[in-house]
Amino acid sequence: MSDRQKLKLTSRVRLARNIQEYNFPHKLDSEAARNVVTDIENAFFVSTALEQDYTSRHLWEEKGLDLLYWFEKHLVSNKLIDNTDIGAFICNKGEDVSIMINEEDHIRLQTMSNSKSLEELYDEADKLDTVLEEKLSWSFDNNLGYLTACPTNLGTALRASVMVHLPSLTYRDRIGLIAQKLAQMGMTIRGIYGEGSQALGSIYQISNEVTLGVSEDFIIRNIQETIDGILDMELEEQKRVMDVMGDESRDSVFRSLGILANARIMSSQEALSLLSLLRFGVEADLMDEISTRDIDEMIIQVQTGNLHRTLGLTELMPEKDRDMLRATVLRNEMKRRLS
Amino acid sequence: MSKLEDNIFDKLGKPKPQQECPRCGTTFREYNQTTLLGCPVCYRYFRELLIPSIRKFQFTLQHEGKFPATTTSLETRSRRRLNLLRQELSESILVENFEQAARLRDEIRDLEEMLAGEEIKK
Repeated sequence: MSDRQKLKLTSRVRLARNIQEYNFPHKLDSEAARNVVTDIENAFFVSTALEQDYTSRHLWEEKGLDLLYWFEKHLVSNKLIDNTDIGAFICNKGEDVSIMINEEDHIRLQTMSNSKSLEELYDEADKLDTVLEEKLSWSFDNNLGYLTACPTNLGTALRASVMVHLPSLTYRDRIGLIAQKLAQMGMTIRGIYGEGSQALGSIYQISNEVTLGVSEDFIIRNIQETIDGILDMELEEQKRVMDVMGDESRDSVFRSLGILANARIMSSQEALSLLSLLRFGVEADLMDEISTRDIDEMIIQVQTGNLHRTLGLTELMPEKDRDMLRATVLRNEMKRRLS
Repeated sequence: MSKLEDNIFDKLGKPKPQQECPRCGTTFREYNQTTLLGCPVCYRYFRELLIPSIRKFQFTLQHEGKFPATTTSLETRSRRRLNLLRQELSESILVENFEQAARLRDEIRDLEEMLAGEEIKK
């Protein structure tokens, strides 16, 4: 894995679409909105291959904790959960493709991966869009492109984003400056769960903001090049950190390892910052007993919804029990992966 | 947008912020509060009021890129063809195939002129 590649967690492509005959979701009563769900299901499940790989789930028939699990896996968004009464999503077995229905738009189609490029992900999304448009006619305007509820998504209605780990740039307080530069270029940097979320564990999402007047191809190439530039900055900063305080950094990395492998109570926030330090250790070649992929899996595993799902629990545990369970899961994982 | 809707828009004239979209009832004031429009017709109805705000966060007001395959109007098809040709043009310049580039440039110019003519007719 290249040094740049190590700093990437997941890449994601999202397309927004609306059906011409219906008002946008927030202007639909629940009966009409559920008709939208049926129309989209009918347009999507047109082959046995799709029927076998994909499942449609209606949020109004699902339990709260499962929603949390899917949210942590980025299969559903905050806004979709807000629309529990009318929201649905069609998702594949690999849990890396999700078609959200009745979020802010009728359709938010997204493909994601920790190994595929943005180009490949766009091609996948584009193919699914082509399947859907066989039976659905999209709201479209020759000048404004695909029409979306919020004009910030007009045009291609495409959002390409990459989740990256920037510990050295965070440590050296450079993220604010990067955010300013990105804004000038029509891009944005956000926390791990998108809009308004905090940057926990030095993990950020970088994505395009401008969607109108630029082709899909251009958006993807542009974001890819910009992100590579930022990752090179992180690598440079990492070298500087190691030059100036290599011993202290190594100490922090191995202390984190010690705590993760031995602690008995751990909040999700503490887990995330320790795993982030550990990830830094792997990125800076301080340790090779564990891979960045291992760490990324653990980051997801220790989140509340995923913890409950592993045990098949349907009720939310008290906070302290959760923190104890989290510590146990981490201890076991560390033992398993380091032995 | 159909001919019928065009006629209705002509009769309605320019909307005021408190006027409601004829299809979904959204007002421009509502949009200013929520940044959400209610339906595709809002874009048409509030176009003049919307344009300054769209300019703030988008580079241009002309879509580039994918067109729905189901759109069958001549204009849409021509625009789609234009996008494709522009892409081919930059590719042929990149590989220094200037003969092809010249041919593509002519075809692009013809199409652009045709589309400009359509705009004037409107």
